[in-house]
Amino acid sequence: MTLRRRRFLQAAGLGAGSLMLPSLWSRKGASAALPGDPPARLIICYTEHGVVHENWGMRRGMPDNMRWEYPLGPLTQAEFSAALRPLWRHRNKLTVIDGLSLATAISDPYGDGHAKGWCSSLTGGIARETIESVKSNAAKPSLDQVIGKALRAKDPFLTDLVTQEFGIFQYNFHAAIYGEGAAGGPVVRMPHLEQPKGAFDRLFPNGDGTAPPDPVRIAQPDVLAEVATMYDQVAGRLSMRDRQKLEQHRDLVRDMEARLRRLAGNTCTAPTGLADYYWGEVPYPQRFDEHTASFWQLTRAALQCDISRVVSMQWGQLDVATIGGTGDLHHDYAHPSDPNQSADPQHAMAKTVMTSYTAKYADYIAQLADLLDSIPEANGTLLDNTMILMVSEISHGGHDHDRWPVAIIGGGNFLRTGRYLNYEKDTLTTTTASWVNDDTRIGMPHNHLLVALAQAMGVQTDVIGDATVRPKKPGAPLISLSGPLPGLLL
Amino acid sequence: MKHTRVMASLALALAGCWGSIGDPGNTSDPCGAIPEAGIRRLSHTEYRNTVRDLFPAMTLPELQLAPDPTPHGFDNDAESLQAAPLLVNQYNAAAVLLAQEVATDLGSVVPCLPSAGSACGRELILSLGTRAFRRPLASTEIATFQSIFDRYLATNGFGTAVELTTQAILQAPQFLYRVETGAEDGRSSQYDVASRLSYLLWSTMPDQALFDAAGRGELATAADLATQVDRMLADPRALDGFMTFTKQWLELSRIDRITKHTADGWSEDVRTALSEEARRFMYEVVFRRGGTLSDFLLSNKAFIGPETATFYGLPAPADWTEITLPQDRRGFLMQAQFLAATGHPDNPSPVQRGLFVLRNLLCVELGSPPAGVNMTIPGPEPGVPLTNRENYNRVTGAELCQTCHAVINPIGFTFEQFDSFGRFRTTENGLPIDPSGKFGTTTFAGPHELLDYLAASEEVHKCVTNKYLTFAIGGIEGTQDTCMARDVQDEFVATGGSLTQLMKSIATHPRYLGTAASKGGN
Repeated sequence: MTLRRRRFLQAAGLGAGSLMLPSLWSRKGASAALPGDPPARLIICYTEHGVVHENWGMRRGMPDNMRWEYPLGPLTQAEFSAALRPLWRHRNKLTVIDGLSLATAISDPYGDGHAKGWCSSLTGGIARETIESVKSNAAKPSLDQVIGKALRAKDPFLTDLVTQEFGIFQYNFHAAIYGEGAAGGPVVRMPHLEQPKGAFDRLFPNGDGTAPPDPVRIAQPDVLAEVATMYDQVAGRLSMRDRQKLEQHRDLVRDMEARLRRLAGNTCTAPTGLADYYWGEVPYPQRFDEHTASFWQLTRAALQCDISRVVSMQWGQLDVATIGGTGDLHHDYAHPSDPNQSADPQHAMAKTVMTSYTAKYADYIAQLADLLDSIPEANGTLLDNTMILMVSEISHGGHDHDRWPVAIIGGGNFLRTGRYLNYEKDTLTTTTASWVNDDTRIGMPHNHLLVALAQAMGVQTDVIGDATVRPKKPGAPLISLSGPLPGLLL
Repeated sequence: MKHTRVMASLALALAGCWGSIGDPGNTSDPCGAIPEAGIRRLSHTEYRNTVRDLFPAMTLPELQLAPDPTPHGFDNDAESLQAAPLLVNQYNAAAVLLAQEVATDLGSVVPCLPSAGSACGRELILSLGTRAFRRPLASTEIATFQSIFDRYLATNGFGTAVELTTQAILQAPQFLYRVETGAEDGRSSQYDVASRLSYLLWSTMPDQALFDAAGRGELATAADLATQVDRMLADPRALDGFMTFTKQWLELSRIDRITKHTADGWSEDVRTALSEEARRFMYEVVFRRGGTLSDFLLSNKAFIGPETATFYGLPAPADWTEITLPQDRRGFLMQAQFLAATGHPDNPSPVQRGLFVLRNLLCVELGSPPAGVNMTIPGPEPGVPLTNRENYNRVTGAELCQTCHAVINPIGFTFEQFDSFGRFRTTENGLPIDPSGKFGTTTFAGPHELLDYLAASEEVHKCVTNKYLTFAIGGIEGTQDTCMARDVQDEFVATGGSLTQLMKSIATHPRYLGTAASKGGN
C-alpha cells in the first residue's frame, strides 16, 4: 500500500522535489493554524476586464508609489469606493491590495492583454504560446492546482476533488485555471463544471436523498474496482517497465474509486434548491444570478464537508443590460473606460457602467461571504478559515497589467485582515516595448501574493510560476519573484 | 550553388550548441536494437478513431482528452504515453458517455435480444470485447465481463448491465493500451500483426477483413502481407494514417496557434483556408498521386481557395482550385501555409523557418536556448530602417546566440522574400531583400537553391525515413542504424523518395511486424 501510494504520488507529480525546499519556506502563514484547527481554504473569484481604478481604489490621498496601510474598519459605507461598497459589511474581514503588477504578463511581447493576463495571473508564469491573442495557453499550472496537489501529497484522505473548478460561460469567457493533463504533456485548461446540477452530481453521487439514486452511478466504484483488477492481471504478464505503466494507471483508477466511495458515504447535508436547468433554458440575467447562487451553495458544501479545499469560480462577462448599458460590454464600455481614453465621448458613461460591473461581482462575493460567515467552526467561522480572492486578468479597460486590483475577503486566521494595503511602485519594468523608457517602474510583482496565499494554505513553497523575470533595462539584474508578499500573512 | 556534404562539418560547428544530432543510441546487436513488443497506450488520434470504428452505427458524443506529450515530435511515443489524473478521469468520463449512448441505442451494438438475458450478455461481450481488444478474448476475460454483466442483470436489468459492462470494457487496459500477446515462438501473433498494420496505416483498429485474415493465419507470408497492405493503402482510412504522420512531421497544427493583425488580412477563415491548403497539397500531390520527397519540395502544383489566392497575387477563385505556381515558388515550403505558420504578427520568423528545416528535414535538433536568454525580438530602433534579416542579425549577433543562430538563421533567411503571410516581396522598408543563405559550407543564392539541395540530399531522405520510423515504432529506439532502418532507407531512395512506398516498406518489414525469425535476424 505504501508503494502504491508513493507511485500514485509520482504519477500525480507530487513526489519529492516537486516543491521548493522547506528551508526556504516562510512558516508564518501556516503556523497560524494549530493542530486540530479547521483547514485553510481558498476560493478564487475571477472576473474579466479589470476595474475603473478611480472608483475602485481607496488611496484617500496617500502617495501611490509607497508602501502603506490603514484599517478599513472605521470607514463609513459612503467612504467605501463604489466598486467595493457591497463588501463594506465585511470590511473587518476584507483586505484590499493595491499597487501590484502582473510583471510576467507585462514581459510577454505578443498577444493581447487579456490572453497574457489569463495565462499569467494565477500561474505566475509567462504564456507558453505568446503570439496568440484570443487563445490562451499557460506554461505553468495555476495556484489552485499547485495547492491542490501539495495538499493531497500531505493528506491521503483528500480526494481529487480537493480543487473544484466552476464557471459560468458568457461571451468572452476564457480560462485562468491551468493544470497538468497527460503525464509530461503541456499544461492544459482545466475542465470547468458549468452546470450546478453537474457539480452537485459530482459532489453528491447518491443525490440528496429525495429521489432514488441512479443505479449506474451507484455501481461506479464497483466497476472501477473490477477495472483496477484487470490492470493487475495484465500487468503481471509484462516487463518491469510496462508493468509500472499499468500499475500507475491502476492506482489512478483506484484513486477515482476511493473518491466515489468516500463521497457516497458522505453524511454531509447536500444543498437543495439549486438551479436545475441548462444554460439557455432560462432568460438572462436570471440564470447568471441563479447559477452563481447555486455555485455558492455548492462551494459552501464542498468546503464545509471538507471535500474541497480550493474552489475557483470564473465568470464570463455580465450582460451589459443588467448594469445600465446597452450593446457590447467589452468594446462599448470596458475599452472606453481606459483612463487614457478620457477624450472618448463614451468615457464617462463607460466608467459608470464598468464600476457597476465590478460592484455587481463584489455583491455576489459579499453574498458568498455572508454564507460562509454564518457557519461556525472551531476557531471562528468558515469565512475566517477561507480566503476569497477577487481578481481579474487585466488592471483596467486599457489592457494594462500594472496596478492589478486585488481584494481578499476572509481568511482572518491566516491573514492580517481589515486593512487597505498599498505597495510601492519600485520594480523596473519588464516590458519589451521599444517606446517604454528603460527606467520605468511598475508595481511589486504579483507572484509574491500567489506565494503568500500558497503558504497560508500550508504549501511549503517560495515560488509560484516563474522564479525570476527579466527587466527591460539592459544589464539590470533579474527580478526575483520568490517569497511571500510582505505584510499580508499573520 | 556550392554543393558539398556538410553533416560532419555541421556537427563540429554545433559542438558548442545545445541538444544532440542524430543517433540516440547504438547497440551491439549487428542488426541493431528493435524495441520489444511492449505495451503502448493509444494516442488520442488512435483512441478517437478506434472508438469511431468500434461503434460505427452510433452518434458519438464529444470526448475531452488532455493533449499528449510529443517528445520526439509525435504523439504516439510509447515511453511517454502514461496515465495522469486528469486523463484517467477523462477516460472514465468518455467511457460513461459512450456506454450511455450504447444503453440508449442497444440495437446498434447488442447483437441479440435482451430477452435472452445472460446469454445475450455473453454475445455482447464476445462481439464488443473482441473488437475492442483487437483479438479473441481469453476465457478469464470473458468470465470477468460475464460476472459484471450478470451481477447488474440480476439487480438492475439488461440495459444497466450492458451500460456497466461497456464502461468496464472501455476502461480496460486491453482497450486503452495495445497489449501484444505474442505467439508461442516469441514472434508477434497474427492479431498483433493486424493491429500493427492498422494503427500504422490507418491510425485505428483493424477492420473485419484484417481480423478475418489474422484468424485464418493469412498475415504470415510476404505475399499475404503485401496484398493486405495494398488493400489498406487503397482504403480511405489510409489517408488518416498518412495525415496523422504528416500533420505532426510538418507541424501543420502550428497554423492553429498563431495570430496576425486583422488589418493585414488575417481572419479565422484565412486560418482555416491555410490549413486546408496544406491538407490538399499533401493529400493530392504527395499521397494520392504517389508523390516523392522531390514533389513535396519542388512541385509547382498547389491549391488556392477564395481566402488564400491573394497571398499568391492571384485572382480569387470561386472554390478550391489546383494551380501551377508562379515561377517564384515551388513546393510546400514556398506555400502560404508554411510561410504564414512561421511568421510573427509583425514579421516573418527566419528562426522558426530555419529551425523547421533543420528539425524536420535534416533531423538536426538544437535543443533550447540557455535559461535566462531574452527570447523576444524587438523591432528596429525608430528612424533606423532595417530589413528583417538585418534586425535578426542585430538581435542574435552576440557570440552566445551565434552558437546556434549561425546555423539557424542562414537557412531561414532564404525565405525572407516571403512576408508573414507568405506574400512575395523584393523590398522591405524601402531596402532590397537579401535571400541568400547557407547550410554548413554550402551556400544558396535563394530558396530555390536551398530546395534543390534538400531534394537531392541523402541526409534529407535519411531524415524523412527516420521521422516515419519514429512515428511507426512509437519512439526513437530502433530507428537508426538498424537493419530495418537501412532496408527502409535503401528502398526509399530506390523508389525515388515515394512516401507511400515508404509506408509500405515499413508496414511489410518483418522486423517492424515482429515476425522476424529471431530478435537478431533480418
